[in-house]
Amino acid sequence: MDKTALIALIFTVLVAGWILATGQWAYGNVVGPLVNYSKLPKLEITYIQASQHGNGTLLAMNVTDIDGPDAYPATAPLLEIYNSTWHIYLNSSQISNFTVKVVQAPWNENKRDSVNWYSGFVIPLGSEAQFQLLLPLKLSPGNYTIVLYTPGISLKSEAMATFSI
Amino acid sequence: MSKEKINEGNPTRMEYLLPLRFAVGWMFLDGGLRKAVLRPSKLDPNSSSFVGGKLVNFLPHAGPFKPFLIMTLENRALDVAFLTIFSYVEIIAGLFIIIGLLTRISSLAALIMSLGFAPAYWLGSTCEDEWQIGSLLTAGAVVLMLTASGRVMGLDSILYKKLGDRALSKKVPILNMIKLW
Repeated sequence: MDKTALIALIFTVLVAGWILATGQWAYGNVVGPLVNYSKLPKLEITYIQASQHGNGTLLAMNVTDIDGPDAYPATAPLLEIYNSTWHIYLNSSQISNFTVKVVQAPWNENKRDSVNWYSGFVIPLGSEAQFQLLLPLKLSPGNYTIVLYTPGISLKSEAMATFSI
Repeated sequence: MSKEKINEGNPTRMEYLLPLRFAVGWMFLDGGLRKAVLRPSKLDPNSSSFVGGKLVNFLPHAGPFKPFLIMTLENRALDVAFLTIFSYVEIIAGLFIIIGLLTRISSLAALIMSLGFAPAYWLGSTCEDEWQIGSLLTAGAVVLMLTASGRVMGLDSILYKKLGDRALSKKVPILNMIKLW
């Protein structure tokens, strides 16, 4: 075979391999399943701990945004804590008011996690922070589930975690 | 029949590479100019526009590139240096590809940068944006790396006429088989 044709074939195989492999990796567009992780936001609670604190409860949880667009941050303006017999909802203003500290992950750079009274938790794609909330209620010992509700996504995709006191 | 006669009248000429050279070159030149010249705050780590923060967005599905991204993000000096160098290489490589100067080496730089976009390939809220951009730039850079400017319509053609055939290196094996232009 002519040397030029051989080089062309080798580079074609390399380029095609790269395109197909990365396409499958990023979008599943060769053998599926088709995915697009940057369509909808998805928050994830990577760590959670709660303890009684005076007449209240100190809740520390690490939250990150693992899916969604990069142009604007994911939000969670509603938080629910429940067990088999009891539950409570906190709206965005309460989330903002009860948050006493936000510890940024060291890689957050200028994309910083925050809380505000109209969006609740605000988390840019890929960033992570520990939100420490001092809830003005004393949770009795037991197991609880916490859910962060992000608007516009299905219930099964909402961030959920369990903790014990 | 001689080889020259077989190729006689072949309409595939290197001049047709010029649109590709402009497209690939401009993508990098524009990207570099935006960061380094038109809005320098993008390279200022104290600015909210600092483009280093974008690397954070790549993290969730960066796969094997994640440790490198985290290391870069956690080391602010490395992050700034990396992005500054990247931006200027974009400008130089992009400009050189357009004007056809050291096209082969510039295209190699373009290829490395195209492959370097891989951690962001999964970002595509409209369609498969970053992957399509990266794939097309990869293919374009490979083509230009193989053909260079074709010794036409570029400064390489002047250098070729003036200096003749030059290898990347006379002494290093393989490199001595690759033409500078």
